Amino acid sequence: MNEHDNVHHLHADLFSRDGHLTMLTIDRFESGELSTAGCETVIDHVESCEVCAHRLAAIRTDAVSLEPPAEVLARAASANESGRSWLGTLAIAGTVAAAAALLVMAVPQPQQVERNVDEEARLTASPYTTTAELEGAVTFDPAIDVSIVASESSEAVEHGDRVSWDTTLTLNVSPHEAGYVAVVSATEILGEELADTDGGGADHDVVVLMPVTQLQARSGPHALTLEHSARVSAETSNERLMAIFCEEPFELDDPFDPALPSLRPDCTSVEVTLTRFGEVADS
Amino acid sequence: MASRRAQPTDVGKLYADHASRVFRWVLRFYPRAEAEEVVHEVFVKALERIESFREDASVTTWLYRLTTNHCLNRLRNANRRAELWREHGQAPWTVPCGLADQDTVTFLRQFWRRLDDEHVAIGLHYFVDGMSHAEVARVVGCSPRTVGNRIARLRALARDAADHPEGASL
Repeated sequence: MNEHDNVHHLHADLFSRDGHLTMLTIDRFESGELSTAGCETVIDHVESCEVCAHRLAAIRTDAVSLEPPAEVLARAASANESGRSWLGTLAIAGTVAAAAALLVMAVPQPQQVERNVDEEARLTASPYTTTAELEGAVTFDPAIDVSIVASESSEAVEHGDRVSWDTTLTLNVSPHEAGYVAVVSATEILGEELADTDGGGADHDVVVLMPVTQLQARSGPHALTLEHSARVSAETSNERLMAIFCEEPFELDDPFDPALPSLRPDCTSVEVTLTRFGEVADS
Repeated sequence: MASRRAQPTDVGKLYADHASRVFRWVLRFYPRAEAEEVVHEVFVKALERIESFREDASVTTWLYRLTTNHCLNRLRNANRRAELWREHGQAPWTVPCGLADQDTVTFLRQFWRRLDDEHVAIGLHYFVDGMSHAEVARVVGCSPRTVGNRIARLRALARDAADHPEGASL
């Protein structure tokens, strides 16, 4: 698999089955709604694909100009009077891409999460399944969908995206089947004294974001606001978010060990890691 | 970030940003002479359903879904369907493209009126647009697994329709 194949794999959703960009992808590109990585993939592809270059050019040259008729304007005015901020909401989504330069937090590709040999061996031996299914990098079909979005705009945060510290994130979970779901956050705590005490690496601040909850099939998305994730701190580092799904009731370990949670064979989990970038000034 | 109240002038911005592509999507279902009217209907629908937008990650995807559903619902109007049939002799949106599964496209063209909206939308996005399971799932608002099940069902119906042209329906 060459580098080009890797790009296609990571951004498979952008392409149709014949290897060209889908029309919806081109439209999202033109709307400025793709992530930075997604835009780069589109640009690279268009430079080497005459079909997609032609489609993109046709969209731009065939554009029509339509004005809203009186009926639509009246409906919009009515929506304003009822307090619904519909176009305000739409405008926010369009500004997300422009704010990408401010990023200090990222959702990396799951295969880029580095673990030492011992950690990898323990994870392999355990029933705990580490994976992530975010837009553009579908690995396989877990029992639960997990996605991260910017709370204000509902814009998806994809692998490799960076968002600014003042962006509150929301974790959406939605099981494919009826079962029991829990969501745990484990944030690595930095500091030599903590890391040296147990001889096994850094300590973690574990927070149960959703206790074990019975959910129906395809219910949701169940939104969990990650206000703590955007909190600036010099003592905390990467944060792992684990959504655990079991067909039958289960209990979380107490204390919960994020490196080696004991899960039954019928349980699976999806993991997303938020990586913090940039220096944080001591206060 | 605090949400702001919408101003009527924002409608102009929404049209400037999205009306052209909505027009292009509508052209897949309706002739050019009728498309502009349908575009305005889609934006009225968007106003009515703006509360659902927050559940979506992309304005474009959200509008695309609204447009597809609105056009399909419009086509299901009995009078409109008969009129369309006289004009085109087939459902225009099933005009096959290079990557389409021809048997299934033929099936969609012949039997789309008997299918429920979800199957029609999924068949359109997958067989005609060439979208992946994941992208279809995002547009339609279901899981990739559901998309796979529906596509398998459509393929089975297409095979059955080849043997029993009048008997295939959901």
